[in-house]
Amino acid sequence: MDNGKLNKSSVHEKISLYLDNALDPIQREEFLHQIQVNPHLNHAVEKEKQFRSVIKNKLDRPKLEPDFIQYIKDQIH
Amino acid sequence: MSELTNPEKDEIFERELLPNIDSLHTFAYHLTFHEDDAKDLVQETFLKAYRALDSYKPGTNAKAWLFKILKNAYINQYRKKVRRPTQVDYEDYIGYQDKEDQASIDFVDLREELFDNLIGDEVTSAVNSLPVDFRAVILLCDVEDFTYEEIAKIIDIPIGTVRSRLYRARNMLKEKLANYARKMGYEDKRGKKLEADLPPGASQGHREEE
Repeated sequence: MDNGKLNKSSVHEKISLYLDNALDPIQREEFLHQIQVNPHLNHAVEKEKQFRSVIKNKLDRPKLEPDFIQYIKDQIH
Repeated sequence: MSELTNPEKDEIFERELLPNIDSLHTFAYHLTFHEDDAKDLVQETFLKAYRALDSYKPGTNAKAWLFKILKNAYINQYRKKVRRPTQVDYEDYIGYQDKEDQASIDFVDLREELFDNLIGDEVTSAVNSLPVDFRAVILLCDVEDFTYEEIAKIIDIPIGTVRSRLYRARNMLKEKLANYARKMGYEDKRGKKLEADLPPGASQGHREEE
C-alpha cells in the first residue's frame, strides 16, 4: 500500500498481517482506510476471512470420551 | 515462588488448565493422526503441567503454556518414537525452506464458490497433508487464534519465521484445496480472478524483499 511497487504477494501478505492482528496501530489504521476506499481490496480481505473461517470451522475435531478428564485426574492423584 | 498446596493446585488445574483440553486434543490429534497417541500426549501434558504448577503464575496464559508443554512432549517422545522412514525430516526441510529467497513465494488464490462446496473431510485432509511444521502454525494461528508472539514461544522459532511459515502454509493449503476443486471440475481462473480482486497498481509478480 505504500507506493507504486505493489504486487499481489505483498498485498496479500499485508492482508494476512491485518487479519492476524500483526500490524502496528498506525499500519492498521492506514490499512483500514485502504479497505474502506478500495472495494477490490475489501473483497480480497473478505475472501481471506472466508478462507480462514472454512479452515477453522470445517476442520475435524475428534471428541474426547466424557470420562477422559476423570482418568487424567486419577493419574494425578 | 512459594509452593502451592494440593487443594490450591487442584483449584488452578480445574479453573485454568482443564478448559483447554479440547483444544489440546485437537492439536495433538492433528500432529499424530492417531486417537490413542493424541490422548497419551494430552494426558502427559496435563500430568507435566500439574507437576509444574508451582512455576505457573495463575491468571496468565495457561493455554499457551499447555501448548508448549504438549509440543515439547510431542518432539521429545512421540516424534522420535514413530518417525517413519518415508517421512521427510521436516527440520531439515524447514531449514532449507526458510532460507529460500522469499521472492519465490507466490500467492495462491481460491475461487469463492469453492468455499461453499468444501466439506470437513477435504479441509481436514488438506491440513493433515501439510508437513508437520507448516501444519502446526496453521493449527496454532488459524484454529486456536494464537498470536505470532505466542506461536513463536510455543514452537521456539523467531516471529519472522512464524510469519513466513504461516504465509507459506496458507498458500500450500490453498493449493491443495484448489487441486481438490480442479478434481471436482471447477475451472481454475485464479490468475484472472486475483488480478480483478487486487487494488489498481498491484501487479502480478514476486514479493519484494523487506
